[in-house]
Amino acid sequence: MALCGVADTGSHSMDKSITLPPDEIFRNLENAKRFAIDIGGSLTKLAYYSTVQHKVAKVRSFDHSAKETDGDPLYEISVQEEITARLHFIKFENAYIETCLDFIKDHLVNTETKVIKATGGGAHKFKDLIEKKLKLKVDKEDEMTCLIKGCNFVLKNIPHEAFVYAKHADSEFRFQHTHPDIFPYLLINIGSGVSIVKVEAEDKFERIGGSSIGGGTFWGLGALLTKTKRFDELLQLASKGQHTNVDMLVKDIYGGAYGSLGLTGDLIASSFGKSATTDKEFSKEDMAKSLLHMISNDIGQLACLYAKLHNLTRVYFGGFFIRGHPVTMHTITYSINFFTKGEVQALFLRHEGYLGAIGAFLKGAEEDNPNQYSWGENYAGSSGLMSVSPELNPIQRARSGTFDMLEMDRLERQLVNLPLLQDATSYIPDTVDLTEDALAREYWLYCFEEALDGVVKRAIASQKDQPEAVERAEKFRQKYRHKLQTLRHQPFAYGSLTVRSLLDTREHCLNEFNFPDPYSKIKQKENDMALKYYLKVVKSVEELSWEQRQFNLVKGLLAGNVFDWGAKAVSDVLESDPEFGFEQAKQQLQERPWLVDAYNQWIERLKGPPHKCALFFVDNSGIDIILGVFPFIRELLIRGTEVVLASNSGPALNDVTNSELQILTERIAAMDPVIHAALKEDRLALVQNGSSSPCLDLRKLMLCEVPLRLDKVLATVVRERGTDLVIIEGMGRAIHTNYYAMLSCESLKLAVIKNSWLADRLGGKIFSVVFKYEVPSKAQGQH
Amino acid sequence: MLLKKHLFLISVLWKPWSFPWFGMDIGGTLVKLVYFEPKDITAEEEQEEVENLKSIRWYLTSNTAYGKTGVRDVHLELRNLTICGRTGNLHFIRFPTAAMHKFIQMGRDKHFSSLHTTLCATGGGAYKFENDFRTMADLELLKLDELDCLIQGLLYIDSVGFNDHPECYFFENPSDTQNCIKKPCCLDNLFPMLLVNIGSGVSILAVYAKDDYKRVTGTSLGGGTFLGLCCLLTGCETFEEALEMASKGDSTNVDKLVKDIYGGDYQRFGLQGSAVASSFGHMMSKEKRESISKEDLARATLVTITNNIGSIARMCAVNEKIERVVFVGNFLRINTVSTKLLAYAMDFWSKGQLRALFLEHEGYFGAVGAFLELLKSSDDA
Repeated sequence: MALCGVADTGSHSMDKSITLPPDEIFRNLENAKRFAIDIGGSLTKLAYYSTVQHKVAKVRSFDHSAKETDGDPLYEISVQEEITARLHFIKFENAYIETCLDFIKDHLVNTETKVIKATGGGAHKFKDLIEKKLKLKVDKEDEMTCLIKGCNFVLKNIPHEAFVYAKHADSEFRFQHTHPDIFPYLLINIGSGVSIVKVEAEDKFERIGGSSIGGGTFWGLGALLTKTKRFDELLQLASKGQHTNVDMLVKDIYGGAYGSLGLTGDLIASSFGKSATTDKEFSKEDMAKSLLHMISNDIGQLACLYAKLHNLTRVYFGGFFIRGHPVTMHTITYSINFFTKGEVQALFLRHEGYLGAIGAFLKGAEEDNPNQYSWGENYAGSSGLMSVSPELNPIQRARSGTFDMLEMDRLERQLVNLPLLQDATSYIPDTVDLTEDALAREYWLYCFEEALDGVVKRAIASQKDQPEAVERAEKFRQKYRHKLQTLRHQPFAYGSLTVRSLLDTREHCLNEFNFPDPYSKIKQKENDMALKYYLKVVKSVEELSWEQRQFNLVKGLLAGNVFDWGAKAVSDVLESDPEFGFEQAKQQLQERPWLVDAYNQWIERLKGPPHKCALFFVDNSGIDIILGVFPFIRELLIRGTEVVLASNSGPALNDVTNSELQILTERIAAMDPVIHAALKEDRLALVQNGSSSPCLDLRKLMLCEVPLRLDKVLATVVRERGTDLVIIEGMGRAIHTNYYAMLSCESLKLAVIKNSWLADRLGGKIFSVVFKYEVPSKAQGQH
Repeated sequence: MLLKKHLFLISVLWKPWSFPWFGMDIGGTLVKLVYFEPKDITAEEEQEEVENLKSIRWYLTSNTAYGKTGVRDVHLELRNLTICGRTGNLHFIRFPTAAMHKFIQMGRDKHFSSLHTTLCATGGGAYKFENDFRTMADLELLKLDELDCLIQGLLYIDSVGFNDHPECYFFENPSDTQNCIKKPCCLDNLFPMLLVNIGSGVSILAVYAKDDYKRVTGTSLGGGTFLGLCCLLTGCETFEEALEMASKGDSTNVDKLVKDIYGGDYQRFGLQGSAVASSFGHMMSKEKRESISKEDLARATLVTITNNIGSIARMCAVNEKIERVVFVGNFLRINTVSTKLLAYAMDFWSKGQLRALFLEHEGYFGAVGAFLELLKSSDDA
């Protein structure tokens, strides 16, 4: 019976000055195109597409046909400009709309843009203004269609988009791990009325029901009862009231519970029932609270009836009634729990306010096929979820009254799951959720803040030739520090907070200020140095007995992994003592038994038949890859196992990138006939993993084989080669993420814990060794 | 001879169901009382009848109003009813639950406890006031479950009929306001039915047979909500006043309709322009708040509550796969706006699949059920 219609604006006057410099809000307007606007009852959401030019580090091999001299570096590093696509979404109060349109008009260069897609109840009200100011034709799109399109888009592209709200839990927001298949779901949009929409596929949805008792009823009836005009103020009143003064409870009728039906005494029997029988004054707060309960319970009940009828368990709530208000999220959650006895969970969305704008934009951009790409939230350019508890964070609350931004970057390709995951739907990459683990959160936030100076120093050093790098690095420092501070107060701002997300945020911020690869020079130096020792290491290993050799290779792999600029303990040592050598690292390692020690099982396995194909997710450049990984895989190759080395597509810390690894592999092949033959016979292949993070999300791999079969996804590689062993190396990939990942083939997860706090938490000391060898249980599925 | 003597003894010793016969349903807002007035009292009985019993009978049957707030619904009286071998009239009386203590005092003053009768009571108040009955009036209540009573009472009244007329009715042409007419009907089989009881709050039951039912759900948006909100919004004090205002008001001044948002129908979803998009939606605007009347507000409140109940009832009917939806409860008393609206909503939103049925003794079935229990319990004794 009702719709997602929009309410009249509260008639309060609003300061029209913009509090942030507008060019930091409407970014990249100079090449913006494809505008869309969603004008709601009080907020306007603007969307556009832009291309961003930013620097990327490239490596290029020198021509080594000429006679080499000892001092020559292995490859050259150059910085190139790259253009990537970005989506911008900005949310602001309707009061600013004219100022914003003026700003856009003044900065809009692109003359190709002729149309602006518009949706939302306010679209027709501002149509003339938009057409006059921007000289763009307003093209209206159906509100519900936009909403659903937007909802599909965020659910597909943003991990941790949906969350469960738990008022009294340690973390109010419990983020959901997105199911790869988002359909079917139910969207309950609570605008002035309520619309209940069943979504079965990208373009298949149906409004299956609704109710006229919605946000407009709360606002309208609330205004009549309490003489309070604004929606937010009504919610404020409600949060202070006692509904039991106004409502007739079961115990008011029964004197206690209605036991035979299982109705507790505190249950509301009749909303506003007491105001019908008692002759007294009721407080505004109590009436507002009673009204809030009445409406939330009613919506929750209808939602449950529809969910049951259509057999759906995923129910998302949106609309201005919800929009991040803890009070309404709490009452709706309570109602859903009550009516479904926990069978259905009320889910909310981090970017709920943007759905209409995203959908309208997608409608207008259909020819660009935005849905065929994967998009990722840019943490540097997005405001994140506000804390909406006013008592918790008054300053942040005030900010939400001005501008809020979301930016999404186009990822180069569609990302896919690693086919070897035992259960992709239940796979959670991150080992610790810092949103829920307050102690760990505190430590890691402190850790990243401590490391910031070093990162800034390194960033400047990587661009010594550019004097303004200092200034940029300073801006980076401010931005990242601000992000860390935000996360301290609102750990839920960007979904589940994890070590991975902290690292990724840092990479996004570095990129934002054009520091694409601060470690490029260090990596180059280390690679050069390590290559010189390669043959020596290989030779010394070859002389050992089989048993000794295996142990030495594993130790080498682990020792190599000590060389990690990502870990502060190590970067301190590396910086103060550049001679910290491979052998010394081996001595630093923990003696067996290790913290996690499955070495004996591994050795027993090696005595058996060789693996068919090993997929190795590598970590750092320099000693790690050259002196640790290569001798190890060399042994595998000799045993008759094919090897696929998966490395990062883009730079992150001192992790070896795919382009660097290609050069290194060629150089090693030139020295070592075993590697040479393996490359030639395609028994050794290199793939990029699609990531620019020191961590690894096995759900988001873009795996294409380089250089021979460029567009082949890993799925094919894994299947064709019959991969039966996955090796994951390093703290970022094997400890912070994937520690608990269950694979359908044998796996080896190894790392040296280079952080005393983490070591302590795992029950060990710094430089403790994790050597986890797992074989999937054969009996699986027989139970 | 022996047989004759035996019969004589029986007639002297057998005092099966001592009068008075009451059934009581103490709800959140109203107390419903049914009283059986025997019309076949013999001269002998008349003589034996104790004084206070006589005075109770006299008080109840010669008045139609009791105190300031008690009312006898004369038009509902069932005449010449034969039950347990006795013939008489069944009277229907109600008063506000707020007057419960006065009622208990009256029971004490009239020495009700000396009558050796059982007071069968149902509704939440049977539990809430049990102790007050005991301590104030020395009366023991026989407490009965309200849903059991509701169903037994309903089935009984439906079976005996309403003074030779059917108890049940429906609306013909519910979607056509001009030609929508109330029509009595006899149902050969009531089962399965969805029973929607609208008192202060609402309970929804799926009834499959006389003794087979379940409570499907309930909502707190019921009659109490209508009256409560009306009192707050308009300053009225009684249900009658609220309904009187509602009958004169126009809810479209208060509610936002589909056409107020979309200019007409919302065709994408097949919604008519006249459908309510947001109840009280116009009240978000200050000018609109200042331009509406109390009557409009009362009407909007009534329409909002009624539509919501209709909507939940319809969803339950679909989920439970039941086509007959029977609405009862005192919210429907003198409330044709709501009965017609419910009939319309059931018909329209189900595309004619569901039928709304109503009963003349809308709010009294719980009390009748309690009354029936009295006779049954004496039978068992």
